[in-house]
Amino acid sequence: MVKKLVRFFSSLKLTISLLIILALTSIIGTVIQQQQNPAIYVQQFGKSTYQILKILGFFDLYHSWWFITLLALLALNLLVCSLRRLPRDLKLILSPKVKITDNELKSLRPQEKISTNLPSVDQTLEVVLTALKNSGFGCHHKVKDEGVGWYLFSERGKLGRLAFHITHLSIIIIFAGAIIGAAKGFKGFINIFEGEKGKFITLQSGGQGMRELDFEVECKKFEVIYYQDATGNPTNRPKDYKSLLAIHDHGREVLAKEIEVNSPLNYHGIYFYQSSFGEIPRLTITVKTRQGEPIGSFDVWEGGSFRFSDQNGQQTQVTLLRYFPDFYMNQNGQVDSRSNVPNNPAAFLEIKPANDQPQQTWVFYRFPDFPHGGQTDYRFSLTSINSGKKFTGLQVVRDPGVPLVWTGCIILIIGIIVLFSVPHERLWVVIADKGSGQEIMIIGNTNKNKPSFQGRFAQIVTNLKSDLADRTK
Amino acid sequence: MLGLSSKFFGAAMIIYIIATLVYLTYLVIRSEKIGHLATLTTLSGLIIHTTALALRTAASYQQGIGQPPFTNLYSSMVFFSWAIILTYLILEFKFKQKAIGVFVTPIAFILLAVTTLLSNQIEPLVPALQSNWLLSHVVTCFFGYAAFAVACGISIMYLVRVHCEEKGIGQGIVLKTLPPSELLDELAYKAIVIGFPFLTIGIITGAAWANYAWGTYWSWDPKETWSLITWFVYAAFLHARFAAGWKGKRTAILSIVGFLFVLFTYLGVSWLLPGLHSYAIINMFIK
Ligand code: HEM
Repeated sequence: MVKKLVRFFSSLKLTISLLIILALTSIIGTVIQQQQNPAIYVQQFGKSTYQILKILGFFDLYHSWWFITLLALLALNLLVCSLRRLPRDLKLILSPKVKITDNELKSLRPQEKISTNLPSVDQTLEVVLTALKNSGFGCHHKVKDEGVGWYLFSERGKLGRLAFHITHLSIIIIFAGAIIGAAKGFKGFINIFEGEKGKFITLQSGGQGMRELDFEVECKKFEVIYYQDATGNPTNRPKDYKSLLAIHDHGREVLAKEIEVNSPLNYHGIYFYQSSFGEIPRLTITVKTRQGEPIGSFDVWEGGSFRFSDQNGQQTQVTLLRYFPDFYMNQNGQVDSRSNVPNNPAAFLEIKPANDQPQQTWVFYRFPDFPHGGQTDYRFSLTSINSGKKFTGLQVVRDPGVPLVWTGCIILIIGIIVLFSVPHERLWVVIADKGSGQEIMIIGNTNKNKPSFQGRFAQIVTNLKSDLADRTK
Repeated sequence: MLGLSSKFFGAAMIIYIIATLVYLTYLVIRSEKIGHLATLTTLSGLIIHTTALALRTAASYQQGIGQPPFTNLYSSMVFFSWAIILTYLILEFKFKQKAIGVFVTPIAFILLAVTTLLSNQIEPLVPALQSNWLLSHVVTCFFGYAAFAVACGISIMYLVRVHCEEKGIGQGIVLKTLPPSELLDELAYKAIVIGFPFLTIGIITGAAWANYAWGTYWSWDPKETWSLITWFVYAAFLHARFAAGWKGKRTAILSIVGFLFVLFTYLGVSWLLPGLHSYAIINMFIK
């Protein structure tokens, strides 16, 4: 039973099947966009198809249980296969068999028998040794056997025998790195305004959520450099963007570095990558009473809020929930922004009177005479849109598995190259004393590129024959 | 300089189609001299092609963009066809088999012909693409693709030959012109053995670049995934052929399928599949 399992998990049929199944199923994840909002899928596939595809894990295929199982099977396959062969391969290179048995003699190819009538075994041995040396093989081991004569053995490319294990082990190392990264790392982003600090990371993987860093990051300066056109004027294609970041740990500035795309900042294994940038406009909201008496104008960013109180001392808080520079209704009847150009600026406000339920309302820049305020006693309008605050967009990543992944990758590259280019070649020579003259058996074996080895083997035999002929003259 | 480089690419294109004809003549007549002529024609095409690439690079520096020529479709296609010819000539030199030229030179010709339909302008790179990793990534990938293209050509020849042998059609001419099937099988394997390490290094340098640019070495974006799929297919080929001892038709089909996957990774993904392209996003909203 155990034997059967081991055989199954080390079989190459399993390897080939897994590789082909992985290749084919991976295609699905490139055809269906991954990790989208469920609403988008429902609209695209319909409710029932959506349910089925969701159960199959097609919307996050590469993290679905069955895909991970396939990868795990491949890793197990690798491990069992390698472990099963390792003792044999180690023995092969650590204690090579100099005295070849008759059985092996029958099965190994290529082989060649030469007879010579040199007077003594030692003379023949000398000729053979010289020939081996000239062939580049040399002779690593020789054993005298009283009954037969001499056993010689030499080999090249021992590393080639191990390359199989090195290559396959490297893939296990890469898997291990990926698992550590997934278990212990995190990935998210943070937008920081120029001149401000931040420490809350919006996580991207493992659901939405926040993560608080135990230090603060400040964006001291942010800058975009544009490509120049033929006349030396800047175009609107960004060439590079840079942020001057500073780390504040326990209130002290401990590190400052300018980062740009392709050049991150690292603090205690947490990397900050320059990934985007942007600007949020400053909006002016004018508030009047329901009767039209002005109360005031307030500046606010998206996400920000302001308070005002009327003549009765009633406090009201207003929050700018969303800002759309180019408001429209898309085909699903959802509000959205058509572009980032302020063609039809609109703001979505939440109004919270001190002792009442919060209410929400839209205000439009293009329709100032259409002030909104719902059931409240006030009317709001969007009266101006001013150039805003710049922020730098940082990707924040901690992945303790990365060093292991790179180690595995480097070993993989070396392993594959050695696997393909270093054949393990072995050569045995048995010189049998026949009383009057000797019989020489030459046996070769390689684990790779047989034709080329056979060619060289034939060359060695030819040279040896002519050397022997020279000596007997 | 840009215009001049395009003219040179055009000249190389014409030379490659001439080379195809010379290889064809060589196959039919089997004269050593014509064989040499075919190689020389291809080599001269390669020299002109190389000059064109150098001119295009120089033009890029002159425009203040300064990048080697393989970052948009036009650039990558002229580079891909160059890599195919170079890889083929190295293989021809190593294995002394000229017959494969008939199938390989037209591939380079077709690629260059397609570029004549594209704009040859040099576009500046978005910041995420300005990286030495990108350079090594693109070069190694394309050499891998080139070796796979050659392998695909050989496998097609193999299938044609075996099909004719089985059906007993065109015996005389096919047997006379195409190399023996054993040899074709071996050569296809050798070409893939060359391509596989390149593809492996290509995928790894791509991952390293992604890691430098935005902190994730692997994000399952369609292009990444397709290159991995291709890698799986060729890994399956190698295990089938080398370790499990498959031979002949089955591996030839795997080799051709592998190259179809290469083509899809290279061209299909950008045109047909939704990409995530994490770079160049300017987000206007903050939550
Ligand atoms: C993605 C995973 C794998 C990669 C990249 C890989 C890579 C390779 C490469 C490049 C070769 C050399 C082939 C040749 O010389 O033509 C090879 C050989 C081999 N592989 Fe894998 N392999 C993988 C998975 C596996 C698995 C799961 C097994 C388990 C059965 C396996 C078993 C073998 C065997 C038995 C050989 C022959 C080695 C020899 O006799 O020298 N491989 N592998």
